[in-house]
Amino acid sequence: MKVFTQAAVVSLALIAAAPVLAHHSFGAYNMNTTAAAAGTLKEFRWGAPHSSLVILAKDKAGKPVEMAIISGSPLMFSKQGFTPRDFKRGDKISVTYHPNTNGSPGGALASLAISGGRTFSDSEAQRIAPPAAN
Amino acid sequence: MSSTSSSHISRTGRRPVSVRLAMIGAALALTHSASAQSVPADAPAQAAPTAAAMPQGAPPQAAPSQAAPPAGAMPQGMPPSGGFPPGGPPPGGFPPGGPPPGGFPPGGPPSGLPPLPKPRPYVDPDSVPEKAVYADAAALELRLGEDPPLTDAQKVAAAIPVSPMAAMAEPPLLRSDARRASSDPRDFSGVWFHDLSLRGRILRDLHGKLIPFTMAGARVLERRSNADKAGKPFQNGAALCRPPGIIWQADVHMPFMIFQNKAAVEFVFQDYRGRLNLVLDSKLLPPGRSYMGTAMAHWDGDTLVADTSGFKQGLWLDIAGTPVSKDAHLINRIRKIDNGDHKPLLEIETTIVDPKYYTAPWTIVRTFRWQPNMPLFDEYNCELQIGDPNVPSDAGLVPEPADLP
Amino acid sequence: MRKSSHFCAALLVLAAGPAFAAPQAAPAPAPAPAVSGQTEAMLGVWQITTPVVDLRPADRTVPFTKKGEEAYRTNLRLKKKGAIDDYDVMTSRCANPGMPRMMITAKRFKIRELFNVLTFDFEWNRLIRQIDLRGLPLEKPLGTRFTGVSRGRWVGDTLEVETTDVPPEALIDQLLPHSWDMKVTERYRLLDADTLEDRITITDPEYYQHPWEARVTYKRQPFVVFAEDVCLDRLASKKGQ
Repeated sequence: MKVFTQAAVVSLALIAAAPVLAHHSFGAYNMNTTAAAAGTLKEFRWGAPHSSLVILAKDKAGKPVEMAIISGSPLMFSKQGFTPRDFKRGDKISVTYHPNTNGSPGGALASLAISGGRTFSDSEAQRIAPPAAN
Repeated sequence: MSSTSSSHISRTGRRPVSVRLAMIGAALALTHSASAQSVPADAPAQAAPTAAAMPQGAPPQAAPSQAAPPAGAMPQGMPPSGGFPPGGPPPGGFPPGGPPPGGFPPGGPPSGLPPLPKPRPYVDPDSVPEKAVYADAAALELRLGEDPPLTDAQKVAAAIPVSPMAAMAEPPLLRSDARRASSDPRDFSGVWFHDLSLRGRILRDLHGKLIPFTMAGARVLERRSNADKAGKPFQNGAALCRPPGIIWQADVHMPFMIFQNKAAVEFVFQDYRGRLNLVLDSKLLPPGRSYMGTAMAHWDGDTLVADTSGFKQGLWLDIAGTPVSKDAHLINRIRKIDNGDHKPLLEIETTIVDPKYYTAPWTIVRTFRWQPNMPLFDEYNCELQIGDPNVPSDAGLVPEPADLP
Repeated sequence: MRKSSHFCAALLVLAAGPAFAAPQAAPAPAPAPAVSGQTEAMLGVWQITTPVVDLRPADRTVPFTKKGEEAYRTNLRLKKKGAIDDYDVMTSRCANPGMPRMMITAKRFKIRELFNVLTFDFEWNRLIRQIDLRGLPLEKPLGTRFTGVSRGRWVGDTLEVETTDVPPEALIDQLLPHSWDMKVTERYRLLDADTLEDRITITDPEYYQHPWEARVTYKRQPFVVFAEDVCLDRLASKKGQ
């Protein structure tokens, strides 16, 4: 039974990971650059075709802006101990991310920290991004 | 590695092909060659990353055990049955230097494996007098075949870099008491999951022949590749939460269910909640165009033959964007292959009939595993993100210009 | 090497794991258990008898707690303001209506069965909802599921289905809120061969003082192949979801 369960978990990981790859490359993000933003969480969307979060932040001019930050599969969050209930609308949140190449607000998640000091690191993005100088 | 492969191809104008030397070729293909390829034959002729290319601690990728060719494979080494596209070989013939040596790039095959015979030079069968030959070992010698001279469109396609993506998702193993499939060869009902590796781009048909692009088809693919390279990948159905078409859906390594009765065989995909309804009773055919197309089907023995057309927009056959125009027909031949243990494979052969983008119909094949232990699907709620009116929901993707003339 | 290659290589590593899983057990004879007659009688195409947008108890009185009433009034206010996306992502985005709201969609749905799992296959936006009748322990989903996690069993002539883990973003109907801890209990029963009744009980002490029940019936429809329904296209053409 144990073997079966493990196999099932691994396979779930794959099912979850494959679509991330399948739906688009990371070509739309500047993976050589990492930016930072802080604000409040408007939404955390798990799942298809990838997870994403929407943050209410302010741009350089102090104007309110909604940023969509794309991330990987629910499995990544699960592995780092997060569940859907950990992300609540209005929570303070800070993120680092690889910006959209088209200049629109947002990009691909590199890491996040939520109130209470919990942090998450996007291991899928880490594998793409250069390790240094970020 | 892909750029190396591409420049090699464009320099010579030809590329060797392992066709379906599956047993030998699949293992060797994992080394470092744009020419050797593993199964499926239509998968990118691209090397899987070697152990050195992987993050540390990762297990090496095993040679795919799914390398056996699908039923109906051509004898190896035979000349291509389709001959040249209209117009024959390019007037210039082979480029200087003649055909490439084939086989392996510098470094050679992995140690411990026997060397492959050199490819048999391509000879136009019409250029030599016909003679009677026995089907003996000499005529059928196992060799790496060669492509006939590429058309100008195939040269364009061959120069497009190929992502080395190759992934194999393994569904959970079946318990010994898992539900067995019906012994009725016409009963496809069940849950099915891909049995072949996920590849980013379809390069060859099921016979190992390069895809017969028209120039318009090759240019569409080229433009999609260039957009991706420029950091501005194009939107497609999948990116916009629309059903992306059967081949994409079937290839993406998510399960699908089949429900059927005498009037229809209905596919329910987890991915995008896509549906493909193969209608056996014409009175039930839904009117109008749709993303997945509509399909009339009939039984040919125990094979279900379906003709899907009426697409609302062109399809991306794969992640790279191998195109199908909205006026294409996709002909599916679907059958259950059961070796007696009632854990069958479902074989779906698809012939793409699309004169706009291809000079001739071409065919790929996929197999899917019986997976009664995966009846619970993940929820595919992409509208939650793509439908959000407040933030750009395009994932940074840009609209694709209208089709090329 | 292009950056996407790294990503692909990483995926490959993930993919390589299961290749080393234990070999499959030898096949053993396993007669296919037939679907129960009760389940079989439920299969087919159904459509709600009277389309509704509100799910209400028979006396129309919803037993809100203070918090429940506040959340309901907030939604009502947002509706009047036209700020639909702030409370109802089904209407504004075509998101999955979730449980139990999906059971009052006006279009048809099919109830199908495979391996003792029911799949409700909806005409509206190609939704599916599944009910596990196998009685197996069920792992919690990794992410959110608007349809929740549903398990069912036959009790006499009634199929009892319990659904949990529905995120609050999915409303009970066009306005009624709920917490993460809502439990939806459905009792399906065939009143006759062509009429299916679903008595839906909402249990959510945070938002409702006591469990309350709404009743919906469906009429059997002839077999049909649904035309492909794409809500986002309807939304884009301003016809609404």
